[in-house]
Amino acid sequence: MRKRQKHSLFRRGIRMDDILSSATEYGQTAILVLLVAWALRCAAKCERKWLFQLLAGAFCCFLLGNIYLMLHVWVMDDWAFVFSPADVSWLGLYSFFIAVDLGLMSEWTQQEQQRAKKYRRMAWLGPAVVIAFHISYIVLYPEIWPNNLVFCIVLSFLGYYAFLMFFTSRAKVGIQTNMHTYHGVMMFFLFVELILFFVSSFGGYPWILYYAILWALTAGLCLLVPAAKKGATA
Amino acid sequence: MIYAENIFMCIAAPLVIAMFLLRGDARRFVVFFTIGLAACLLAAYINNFIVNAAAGLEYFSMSAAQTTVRLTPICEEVMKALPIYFYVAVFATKRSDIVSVALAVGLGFATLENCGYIAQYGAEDVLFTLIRGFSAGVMHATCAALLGYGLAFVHGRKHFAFAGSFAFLCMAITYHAIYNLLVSADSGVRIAGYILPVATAAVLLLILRRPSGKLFRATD
Repeated sequence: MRKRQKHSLFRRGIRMDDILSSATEYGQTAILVLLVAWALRCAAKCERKWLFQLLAGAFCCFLLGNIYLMLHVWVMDDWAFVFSPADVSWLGLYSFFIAVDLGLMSEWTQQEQQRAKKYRRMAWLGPAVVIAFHISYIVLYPEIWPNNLVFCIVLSFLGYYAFLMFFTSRAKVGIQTNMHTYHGVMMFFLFVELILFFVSSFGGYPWILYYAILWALTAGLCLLVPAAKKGATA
Repeated sequence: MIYAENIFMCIAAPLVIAMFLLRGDARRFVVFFTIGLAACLLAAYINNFIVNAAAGLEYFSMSAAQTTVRLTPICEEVMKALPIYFYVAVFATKRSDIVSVALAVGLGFATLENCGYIAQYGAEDVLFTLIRGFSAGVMHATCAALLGYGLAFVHGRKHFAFAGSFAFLCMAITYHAIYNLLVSADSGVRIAGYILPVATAAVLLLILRRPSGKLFRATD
């Protein structure tokens, strides 16, 4: 899905974007390794072990996708374009996040279930945003529509559950107490991911923006563990 | 040209007879080992079919190297996963059984693939056969074990069983793709690819043997 954009800052030799690209790739990979370890550590200590095990799985998927992309450039001397196993790893990442949301929903009290009914219509806002973004990708890159369609379906599910959980957990009642931050971070992650696809699909933007968004995405992932920890230990 | 069907029949015939003689866990292992052999054969057919079908489409046409890295991992892991999913959905009652079944399918798959390689390239070179056995053989078993532990983890958790199963399959596919990518390199990176499966298996064993590893052990 993501596509490397090449912009030369200095026409004579130094390519600033290559330096930033390497720093982002290696930095993000190192952070993901630490996040996997952190999530597993939390799983060993916290009550909701499954939540942190799923989060560790999500980070592991993202990590494997990143490693694949880096190795592809190294071994094949070419950027992996869609549909690559890296795309599969991102689908795995979103599926792990969906699994977390579904797991949390299964623990809802009756009060929370009643509350969720009120927000079901509002939660459709999530898939609506995802579909709107993906229609623009499909219009722009019609040749890779199967890839965009698959991403659209999986992200629509994630969008629906992220919005539903966010609105429902706002009341701070029942088992969802203090999970509001986690769902807020998840919505942030989803939005940044959509912006990242958007930015990497369209040319003519300041190249530093792409890496800024990538770092924002990494920050979102980093915030997920403490946010989940806060909710799980409440 | 290798006759994979003939190799499959040669290996599967005594196993089919053994299925009628064995009982319990041993029979289950033999059944799923044979299914793993069949999955390997089917994966080869489907892989070829997709490559030929994609050749007609300008955007999706792939070279042999790209096929190995992009398509083969998806096709092989899905074919390995299907019988394991079927077992989990229909028969599984204990989590530890899921891991055993997954490993049996993975080992069966690796066996037929290795036999095919030996039939194609010969078995004269001991180093080649050893590398093949410890790299691709262990890699298939590791991927299957990863999926097996994943399915054992989501087993009984109906709410996220589907999403979790799919996510673990995605993880196995990406791991397989990384291995294929490394071993397809011309440089010394290939050695890293050969070592990767054994290293991963060793790390998994270490984690599972530690007291804190009980988190990931497929206990019932």
